[in-house]
Amino acid sequence: MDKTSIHRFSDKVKVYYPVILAIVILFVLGEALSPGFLGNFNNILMIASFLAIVCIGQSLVIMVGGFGLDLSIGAMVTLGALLTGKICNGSNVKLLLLIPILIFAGVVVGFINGIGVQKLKIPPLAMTLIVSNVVVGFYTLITRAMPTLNIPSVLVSMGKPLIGPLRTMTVIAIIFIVLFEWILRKTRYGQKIFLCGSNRNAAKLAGIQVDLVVISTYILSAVIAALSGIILLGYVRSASMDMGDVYTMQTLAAVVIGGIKMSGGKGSLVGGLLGSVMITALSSVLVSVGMLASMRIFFEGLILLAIIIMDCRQPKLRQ
Amino acid sequence: MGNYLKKTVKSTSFPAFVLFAAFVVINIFVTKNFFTLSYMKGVAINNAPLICLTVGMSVVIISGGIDLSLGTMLSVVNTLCVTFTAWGIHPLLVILMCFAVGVGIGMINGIVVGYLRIPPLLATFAMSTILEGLALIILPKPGGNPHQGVMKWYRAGVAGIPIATFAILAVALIGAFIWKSKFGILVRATGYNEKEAFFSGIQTSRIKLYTYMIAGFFGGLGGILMTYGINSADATIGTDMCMQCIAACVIGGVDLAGGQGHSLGAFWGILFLTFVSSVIVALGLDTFSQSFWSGMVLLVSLLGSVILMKRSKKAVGLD
Repeated sequence: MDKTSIHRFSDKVKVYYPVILAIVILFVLGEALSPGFLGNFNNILMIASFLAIVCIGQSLVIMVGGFGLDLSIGAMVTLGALLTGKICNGSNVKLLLLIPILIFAGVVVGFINGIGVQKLKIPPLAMTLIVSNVVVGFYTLITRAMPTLNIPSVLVSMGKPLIGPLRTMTVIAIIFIVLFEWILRKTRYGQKIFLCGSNRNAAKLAGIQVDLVVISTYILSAVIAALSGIILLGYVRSASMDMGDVYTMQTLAAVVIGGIKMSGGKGSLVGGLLGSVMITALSSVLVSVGMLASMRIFFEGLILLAIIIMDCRQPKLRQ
Repeated sequence: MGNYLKKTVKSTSFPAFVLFAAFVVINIFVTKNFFTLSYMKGVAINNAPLICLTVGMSVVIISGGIDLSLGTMLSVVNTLCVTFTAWGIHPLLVILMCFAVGVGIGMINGIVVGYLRIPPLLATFAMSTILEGLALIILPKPGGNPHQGVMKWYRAGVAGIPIATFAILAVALIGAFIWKSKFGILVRATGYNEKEAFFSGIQTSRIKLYTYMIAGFFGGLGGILMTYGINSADATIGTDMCMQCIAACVIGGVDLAGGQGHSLGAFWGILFLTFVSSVIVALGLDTFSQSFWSGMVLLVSLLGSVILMKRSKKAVGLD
């Protein structure tokens, strides 16, 4: 009996060696360039865990195939954060009212995204970009560009240690990642997602309702992003009209680094987590060196391009 | 004559033209000073950059690709224009250099997409991030001026007609006639079915390179027109323009999958969106409602065009 190598655990882990190596190099580099950098480790882990939660949604959308992409994630995160401020207005109890509202908002936006991409065959990039514009217009209108700064006290504990040195945010992230990874590997729904990603036609012939699966991933992505907004507000303890915007590009980069193929059908949320850690570490190293925001954006874009060139090339036409 | 009329009405660009005409009429009723020279001058000067980008975008989309970096490219050209002027470089040389920068960036895009075979979505998305950072590096704070003499000539125009109007006409003519040329036919073939085009002997990589360079040219032109139009520079000015360009193309009948549509359709599409904005502004809503409703109109127009396009394709039997 010959076990194919992809089933052995050690071989599955081997895929992540480059990313882990990169993370180690970044920390060493950070310490070398700016002593005391290692003290940031917990901070970096916190920010990375937030990014990892948002990456779950992006990963699902990409894994379901069809070159899926969700560029409205940043806008949904901002929406979540701003609505938390506005609706709760400092009260902890109102959080219970807020969560269903955010879930509803996520479902609506995700549904619109899904219908546009799946039923109207609009490329996910165009659809989610325009929907993101509408979401931004919506929350700008709702808050009149004046975000509420009264943050429920429960949320402030996001940045505080919960289990040992691990902060509350990190614990929440780990719980969510384990939960969704389980859903992907062990449930029929998860298997449907992978099938739709690997081979749409086969999935259809197997009787899977591809449309529903795809739309559900967009809904999950939007809902997760909106709920993460709550966490973001607790962590940064300030609000602005574009607080979530940067996460769109970062989830994309993290997911690509983490080994999730843009064509869908393969990948793991652990990749998203590792990718998030790497991106955050990179950002931190650049900040600690004193690099301006503009140069950071420039370099992060350059690195994203480099990773895309290494990872996403399509085969030659002449075979 | 009857045949010509039939062709025009059935063309993919016609619906966009009808929408444009309808909103010009609505605008006449809603805007008090529509027929004044100053209003028309304003419309031309303010919208010339966006029109350039849209026509450039249409060429790339019809070739089967997409260029998300056009907006930030405009920002880079804008910031470079005032920077070069501040260095005392002769205005004509400044303009030439700006075009060179635009075509240069287009060339990089073209090489990455055409020769390195990276999906255009990802490649130009990464490039737009790089350019976003670059624009901020060149000009961290808004300011600067282009050459004042040229600016005055630009605003005053020839015989009372602003230069911007001539630029718009030139862009429209290029958009109209490029598709009748041999190059245009090759671009269309590449977009419609790259494999078949390749095996027919068309050098698809080179065609794609040229389309991105053309888009770069229009990006450069847009940046120059923007600089002289606003008499200043802002590194963030172009970031949100791509979305409108893409929507305008779709409304104008350009299929995002490539091969179908005409630049004139995109031209009418962007003019339509411009006049819709005008109407929204004239309705006297506050700025926040304005941006929300603009976004909604964009979304509805996009969805509407796609649905109508699908219906007409089904009727002809193409879907």
